[in-house]
Amino acid sequence: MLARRYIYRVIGLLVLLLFVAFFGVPLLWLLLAPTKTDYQLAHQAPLAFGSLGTFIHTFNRVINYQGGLMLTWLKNSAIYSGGGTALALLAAIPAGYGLALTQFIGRRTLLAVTLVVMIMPATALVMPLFLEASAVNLVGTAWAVILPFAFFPFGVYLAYIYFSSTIPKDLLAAARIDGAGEWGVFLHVALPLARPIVALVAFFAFVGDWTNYYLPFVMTYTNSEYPVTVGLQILIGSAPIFSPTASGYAGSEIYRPDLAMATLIGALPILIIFLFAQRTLVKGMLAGATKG
Amino acid sequence: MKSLINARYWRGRSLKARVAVAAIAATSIAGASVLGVSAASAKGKSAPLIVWIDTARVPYEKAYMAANPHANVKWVLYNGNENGTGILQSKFALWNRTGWPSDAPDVMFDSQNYDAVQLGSPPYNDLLNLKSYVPKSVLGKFAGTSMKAGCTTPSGQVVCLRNDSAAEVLWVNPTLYKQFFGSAPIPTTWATFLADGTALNNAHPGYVIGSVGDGFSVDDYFLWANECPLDKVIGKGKIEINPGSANCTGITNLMDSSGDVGKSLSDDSIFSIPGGPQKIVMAVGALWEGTAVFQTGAANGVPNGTMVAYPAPTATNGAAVTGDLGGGLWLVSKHSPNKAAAAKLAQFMATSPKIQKVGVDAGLPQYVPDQAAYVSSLSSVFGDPSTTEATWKQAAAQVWDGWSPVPWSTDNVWASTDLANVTGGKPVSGELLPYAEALANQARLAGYTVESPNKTVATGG
Amino acid sequence: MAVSDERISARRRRRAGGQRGGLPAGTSRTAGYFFVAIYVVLLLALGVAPAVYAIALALSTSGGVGVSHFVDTFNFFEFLPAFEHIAEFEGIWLASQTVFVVLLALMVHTLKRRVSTAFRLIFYLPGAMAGSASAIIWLFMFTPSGSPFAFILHGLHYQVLSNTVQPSNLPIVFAIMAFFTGAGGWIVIMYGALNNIPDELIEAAEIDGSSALQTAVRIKIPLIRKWIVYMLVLSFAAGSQLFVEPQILGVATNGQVPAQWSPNQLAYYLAFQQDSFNNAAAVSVDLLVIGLLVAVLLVWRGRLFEVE
Repeated sequence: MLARRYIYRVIGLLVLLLFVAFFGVPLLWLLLAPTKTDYQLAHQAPLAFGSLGTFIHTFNRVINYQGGLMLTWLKNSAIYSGGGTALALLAAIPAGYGLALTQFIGRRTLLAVTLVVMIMPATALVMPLFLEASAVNLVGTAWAVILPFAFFPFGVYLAYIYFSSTIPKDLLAAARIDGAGEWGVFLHVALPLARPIVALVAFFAFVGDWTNYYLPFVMTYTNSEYPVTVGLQILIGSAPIFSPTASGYAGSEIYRPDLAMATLIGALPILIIFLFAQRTLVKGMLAGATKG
Repeated sequence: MKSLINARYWRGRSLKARVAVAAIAATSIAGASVLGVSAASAKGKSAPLIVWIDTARVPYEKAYMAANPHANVKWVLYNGNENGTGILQSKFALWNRTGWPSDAPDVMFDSQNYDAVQLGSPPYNDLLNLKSYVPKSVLGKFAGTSMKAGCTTPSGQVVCLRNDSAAEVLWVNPTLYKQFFGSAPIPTTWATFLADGTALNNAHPGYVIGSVGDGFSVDDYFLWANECPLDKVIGKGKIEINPGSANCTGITNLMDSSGDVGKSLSDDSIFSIPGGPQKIVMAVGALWEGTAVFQTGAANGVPNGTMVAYPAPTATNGAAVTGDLGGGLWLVSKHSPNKAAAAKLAQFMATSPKIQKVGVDAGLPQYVPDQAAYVSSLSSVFGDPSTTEATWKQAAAQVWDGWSPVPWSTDNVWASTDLANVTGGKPVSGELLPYAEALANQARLAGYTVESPNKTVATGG
Repeated sequence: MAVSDERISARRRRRAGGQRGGLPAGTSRTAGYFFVAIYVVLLLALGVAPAVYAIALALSTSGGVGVSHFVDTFNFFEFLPAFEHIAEFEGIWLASQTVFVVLLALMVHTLKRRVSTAFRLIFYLPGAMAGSASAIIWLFMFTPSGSPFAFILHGLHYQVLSNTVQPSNLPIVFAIMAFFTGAGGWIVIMYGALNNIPDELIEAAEIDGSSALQTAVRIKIPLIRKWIVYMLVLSFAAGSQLFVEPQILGVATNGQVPAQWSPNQLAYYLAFQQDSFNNAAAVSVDLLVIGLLVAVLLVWRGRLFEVE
């Protein structure tokens, strides 16, 4: 009996380690690839360490590529995602609150529509969105990317669940009796209690915006407008190993370690947010879980 | 928002949460500062010419501005419409619906050969007919059939100027060749070329005579160069796709019987041959591969002054023709408010010796009067400069014009339909029919009528 | 977890008041509009309007209103394959993700807290690589020369990238990419949900002689069932929109992954490479209808999103 349990444990641990390898090795590889030259990358063991000097050299190559294109892309990503997230919060948190804790005609309809648009494939709307944006002259400005990002029904849904399951209505009623207006109740009573959900919506919005590819891919079209996600595709297009016809011109080439480094730099902001956000994620997501 | 950035609210909150919110707040403030940019106003004759170039064309920009210091030109970097991205197609399609904006380009560099005819024909019809803007004497001096085949639409408009030649030659590493084959002559037919590969398979495994490991090798180096009619536009909206032609089966049968595929014709891309370019004894490849494959930036390169270009093997049907891979085009927008000035700039880019001398990386100018000055700069780069120069000039004029520019990429079709089979060990000759059928599908999607003389490809639809 | 205590007591209070879903006296009826105002404007402008526009585009033909764009696109040789690809991809991905996420969450949940934290972090970090980053990383992982997983690829007789990404492998290739970035977040959430199961329940089962496996199957999985369905719904929606991974792989392989591999790519291709917005809109509407059907089915029948 004991021996069998022991065997189960060992098998279980092996399965876990297998998945650790699956999830961990690509990340480890990504960290190690820029420590090597292109030649070393092709000829050394995949997880061998090159040198710190090469890592720094690769970093500088990527940062200085085409006069700092990578920094422009990072800045654009920050503008698009930061702007989109700020507006998404501004719309979603009060909306979730309004849906959960106030009563008005059309509330249930709005709730149902929100659930439906949340699941409907947003990318199917990208082309009509482009035509819409160009009708109001927004294409070529950051708004063409930011405004669609600001529409974030998933955030509304999360906020709705949170407010309807965690904020005691008695508390709000008490505040109203004390003479606070509706806006005051929201600002001074509900919002301070809503910290986890604000963080959660911000997390999902920011990560979703930063990693979004299709929308900026359609809405922007020059190197100086791209966010990092689209920029990475440009880099692949400049790598002779993947796009041979792009080569033949010294100085414009991107090698494999450069590509790995660019991927790493592009994902770094999200990686940092991820490191800090794990508990927020669980807390916020499960806030409504035990209900019903 | 006010409460979010209110210090009192955040006092005592966890550091992590504060960091996250501060980061978001900071980026949104940064965002706000650049959002003031509004859509530009309608463009007039006084507006600057907008030129889209890829990063490799930045030296051209410098040369142009040096020659025209007062020119009112705005240079915009984009990816040169690199394979698979279709930037120009997508933007043109959108602008045709929404109206052409003031920041649309007047002149564009384009690295994809098939783009000009597509963008200059319906439903796009967005390129300027350069016949009325560029002197006939200039148009007549581009080498070979490049202008006729590559820049002329079925309705007879000239919609691009060819920047550089990408004709195919036989790149040879004479040191290796002498080592393995002694004083034997450089192969001039496909049969002897492939036989050399067979000899390498047995005696010196690891050394290669080229590659079949990417989307373009088989169709550009072997099929195109042997006059295989799989992409032959034979009239307005009509294309011949005939995989049963002896021009196609001749070369694929030779490839299969040589046993070279997967061995001395590597399954890897020519850019990533195991062991590096010093394992390449010879390879059929475009002019620009002389630097791109064997030298550029690679720590494992072949020493300067080694590689020599010889003419590509004669087609199996005896014709002295070759294929083509890459090379750039200059396009002018029909929607430009300054058509004459835009066409003049494009002409300068494609024909001015000032531009075409910016360096060896620019590639051999397709414009013949510029070629002499260009090739003279090659002497230190390649071995046997006189042979290399002669080969280049000859090749630029020998590209077979029966592989027509069409609104799809034959390379991509080969890559998605046949590449995995060939690198997985299946015979090349077995891929002709599936390849032809996939091409025929693309052709019908683009509105072409498919003609297949041997009825090997279903022609309906 | 302090939060759950708070929540439980809040619920008790509400139950005691007996007004579940009702509202306390003194609530203004106009304030609600004020709170949802910004969102409703965005919803109309960026959700409803483009959807209506897409439908209008898809239905408008040279001869007025009709379904010819739907018929035309259906007859394209890429149309059915694109939907087959996405169905195959979703099938592989959703099935494997459900099995592995539940399995790993259950396993991690049996570990000591500190050990499990490390495991969860490793599973969850790749989520930061969603989109192009994951596509680029796996591009290298799938290239037999230089991949840390080369031994597996060689074992499958794959010598070059074009072997790995041969057409029949693509659904699995994209499923691996999606699993790599998506699974960890869900493992973390499932783990949290498992933590919310009262200890007494599990202890009671163990006293009854239930093995770890039986406890997992009979007690734990039913209690997190709602989250599993939730994961399926959101993943299905995300998966049906697959675009960036095949797009990047296509650019990196010189077109070995065709530009019309997924329905979303097909729509993009029709609009921007064929200059046919009406046909593109028709494919978008097809996708929209499938997404809506699934959404409505689950919202309506699955009681999944019911909170009132």
